Amino acid sequence: MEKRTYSPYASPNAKRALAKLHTTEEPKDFQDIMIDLGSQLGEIIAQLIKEQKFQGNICLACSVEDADYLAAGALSALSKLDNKNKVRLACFWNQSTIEPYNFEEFEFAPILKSYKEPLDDVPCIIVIIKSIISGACVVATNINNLISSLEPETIFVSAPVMLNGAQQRLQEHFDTELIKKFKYITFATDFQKNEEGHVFPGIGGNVYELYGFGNAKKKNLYVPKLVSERRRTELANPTR
Amino acid sequence: MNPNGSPVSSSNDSVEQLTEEELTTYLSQKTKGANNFSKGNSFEIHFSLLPIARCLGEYFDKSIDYTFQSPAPNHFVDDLVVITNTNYKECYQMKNVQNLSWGTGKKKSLTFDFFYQTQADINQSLKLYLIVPDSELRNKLTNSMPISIKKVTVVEHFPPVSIGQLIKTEPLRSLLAKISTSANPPNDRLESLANAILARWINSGGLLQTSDLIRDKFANPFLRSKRDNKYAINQLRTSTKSILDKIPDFYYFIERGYFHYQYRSTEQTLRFDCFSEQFEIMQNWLEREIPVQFEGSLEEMLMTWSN
Repeated sequence: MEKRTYSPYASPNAKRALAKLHTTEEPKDFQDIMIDLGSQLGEIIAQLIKEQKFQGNICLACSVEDADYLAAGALSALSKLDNKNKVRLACFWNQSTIEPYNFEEFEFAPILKSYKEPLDDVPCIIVIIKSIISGACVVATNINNLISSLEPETIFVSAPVMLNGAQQRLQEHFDTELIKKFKYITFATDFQKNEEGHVFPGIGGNVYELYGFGNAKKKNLYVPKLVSERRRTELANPTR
Repeated sequence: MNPNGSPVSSSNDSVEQLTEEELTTYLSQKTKGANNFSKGNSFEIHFSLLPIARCLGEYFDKSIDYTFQSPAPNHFVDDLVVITNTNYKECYQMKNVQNLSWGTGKKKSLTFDFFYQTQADINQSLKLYLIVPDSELRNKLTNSMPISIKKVTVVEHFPPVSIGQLIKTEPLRSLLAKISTSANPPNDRLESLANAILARWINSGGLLQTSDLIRDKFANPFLRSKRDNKYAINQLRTSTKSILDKIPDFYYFIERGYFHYQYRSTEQTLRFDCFSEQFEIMQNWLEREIPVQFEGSLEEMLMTWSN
């Protein structure tokens, strides 16, 4: 079986952080490393956006479990761009991937709730960030939701680790024109899953347990601090 | 002879004439071993979404219960048959190929099958469809269609792409939106609905009614309520309405029988409709706890009930 391969984006710092994921004893340790990895991914993406000479809004999209850690790290890095006030957050509470009647080909991960800050009427870029991308069902669902109302110039799909084939699985959901806008940013690609179905070595196991949420149901009851804080500002759209 | 015993119309001399017994044998061999739900048949499976979604819309509008069958025994055009109890029938043949013709009218040709289907259902309100993956092929087959079947036959083009791509195309997008829990659903909700419908269809083994789909545990949270929305609105008690109306920046509405809310860029559609026991439990909780703000227990409970 093929061993993990590292991408050109994987600096020594990134590799060290990935290795540390497997030695955490407390959720706080895991959370801190994810903030660091998010920050590193955010810096890479910020640099690529700068090279694109992009002017507009950046929609940083994440799942609820990643919001206060991986996404917060990325947000901090992206906010240092020239258009620092124009980074907007989208956070999704997804139900765990459902395989109706155990048919893998029809699996879906419905969005139970979303927080999406409004963007200005200007060009936009979407940055999707996730702790690990394996089946790509959740990422596809969330991109699908965003492109219902956005026409991004670029869609960055980023994760510290991806399972081999994740890009192809993601692209099956979209047409050729949209796929051309995808740019993948990852540090490592893994090639296997363990007996429990987790990518191996991956990020060290079940992401909800590692973060300290316990399980998929419990993480959906969480309201990230990032969301609570931003919701109280003018970034969130008051509805009345 | 036709399968129903009547003589074949003499204006179609080019169609091979078979005896009643030969036709019966032909029909029995047609569906022997046929399995339209094998992995290689994604074109046929995905196409089924179109008539199923359309019929679900009609079920909600007019309470017509449709039956879907695939393959349909004793049918010449048998990939998918849709019937109601009102003497109306649609028969579909799907061919995911780049090249096709109607043939010479000999046994097993499209002309043969389509012609004998019109004869078998001569007393029925019938529509026949030939589905192909390419619009040029559709045009070619439309222009070369045998006269004997023209009145009841349509050739349509259906793109052989993934469900994720299909739900963004018309008419499927509009048909799914019509039966969804909100009037303007985002792509992801349509894709969830499409996947749930197809999974139920395959799980049925090829025999399903629209009323079965309404009850399906996977499709149900994404399908609109059958009952008129004005009755759903009436389910909201004056007392709970008064509590919700006082919560700052909390905006809610009932649409397609479901409760939707927005709070400062946060959005949610509850997974149970306004006629459900769960909706009553929610209202009881609101009356007991009388929340004055969204954040905190109200936000948590709205998620707990949907999770």
